[in-house]
Amino acid sequence: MKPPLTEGPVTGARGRLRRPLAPARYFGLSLFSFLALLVLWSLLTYSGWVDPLFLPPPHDVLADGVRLFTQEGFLQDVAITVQRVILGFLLAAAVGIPLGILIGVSGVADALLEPLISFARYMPASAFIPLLILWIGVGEGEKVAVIFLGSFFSLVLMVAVHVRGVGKELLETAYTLGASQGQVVGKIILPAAFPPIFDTLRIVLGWAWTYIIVAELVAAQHGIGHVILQSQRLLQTGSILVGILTIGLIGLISDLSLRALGQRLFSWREG
Amino acid sequence: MELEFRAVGKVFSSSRGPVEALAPITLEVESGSFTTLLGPSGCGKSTLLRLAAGLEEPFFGEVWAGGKKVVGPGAERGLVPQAYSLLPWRTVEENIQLGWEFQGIPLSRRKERAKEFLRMIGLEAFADRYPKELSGGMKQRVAIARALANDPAILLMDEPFGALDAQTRMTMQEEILQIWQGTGKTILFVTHDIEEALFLSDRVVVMTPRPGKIKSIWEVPFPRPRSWDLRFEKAFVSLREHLMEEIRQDKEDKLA
Repeated sequence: MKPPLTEGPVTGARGRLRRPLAPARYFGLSLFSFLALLVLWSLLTYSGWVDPLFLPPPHDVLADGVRLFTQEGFLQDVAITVQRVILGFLLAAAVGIPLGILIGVSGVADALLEPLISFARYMPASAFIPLLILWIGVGEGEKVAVIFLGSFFSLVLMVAVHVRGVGKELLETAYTLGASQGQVVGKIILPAAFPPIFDTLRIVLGWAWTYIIVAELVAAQHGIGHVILQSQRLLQTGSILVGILTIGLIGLISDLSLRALGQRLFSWREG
Repeated sequence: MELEFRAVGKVFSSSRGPVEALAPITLEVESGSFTTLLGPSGCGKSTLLRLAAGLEEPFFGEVWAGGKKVVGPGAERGLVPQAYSLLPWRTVEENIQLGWEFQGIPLSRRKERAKEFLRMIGLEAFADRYPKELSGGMKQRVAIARALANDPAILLMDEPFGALDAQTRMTMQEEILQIWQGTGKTILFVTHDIEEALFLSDRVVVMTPRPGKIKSIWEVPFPRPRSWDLRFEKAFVSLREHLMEEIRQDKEDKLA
């Protein structure tokens, strides 16, 4: 129970920066911003300010969405794209995380690999698409390779940074408790670097989505990107929007679930 | 002799050239004794402790512990760091077990023995809590238990109570004396607090900065066990004043 309110003047300002909101308030505000976007969209379209060819009204896009999913097998395209993303992402993580850890703990690995990877990182993955098509064709391998190239190098560097960021005092304490080097890596560095690496994976998953759509726009017979390109050729603006919104929705759901998983896994985190 | 510094010196390289952090220091620490390194920041007391831990390499000279030359950190020289350094993803009990895990002691035995140490530090009720749920004093107790659980011959304590409030600090001082008397460890303790040094130690080593070196060594004659009211006794107060003078004088020398 709250104490009774006193009337009268008050003094003092409360620091509001970085203060977490109550969950209901957070959810309400988030929903508001989505609704505001929808209202803006409706205003622009139903008022006739914007030609439906450029931006169709919400109900048209909804109708296109229903048609795509029920009559044109869009769900299968979504499934294929999701599968490609997950495959490329997992592959990049499976190779990138161990390599990043190695660079983070070993000076030799650092010298051998970090400059090379920094160099590779600046070459845009999308520019490799023609080359990849030449090398491995337009099949699934090429799609996965584009995602891999787009996320792998930065992932390695970020993992290495997280590994180096593990407090020196934790390592020293472990050594004075008689830990071997392997034990320091396994019992100190890995668990300490795991939460930031997990956050990084969340971000990298977003990149994987960007790259797969680029790859599917260039050369694909299935997938969300392919549907978007087809719709452009047929001037079906609504279907393009359905494709884009679907990607956004999948991204939002996967990001929220990963975030929830992270909060559950790392409940021991301070602050 | 449990621990020996044989003409140990340390030189750091900096952008302005080499800096002598520690002038050659010779010091012997007797087995089972409580020795404190006392001095202002920059006097090299922590560096000396880290040399004993094997976390720093001497630029010249040698450190010997238990009849062996120190070439790196080892389980026989336990460290209680200033910042607790608990693993935040492990519970209190799991933190205490860390050293045993490194030795490969099976889980069932670890859990059993952890109880003994939880009791020693009075945190049985907190066995399953994470460090973020503990106060500073509790964290430091866990860090001490973790170091002691490994049964090191020497316990190195680097300003362990520096971050605690005055009351917790006094409690911890009494507790560490009890623990020390119960286990017979050799303790090398670092502090800049004169009263703390006198209350705890058999011997106080006063150090001065630029470069770090030993200025004087004081035997502390008060009988044990000691309790908190020792601080008000005449002999204690007078010795504290002498030590204060010793450290202050040094400051005046430097300013002159």
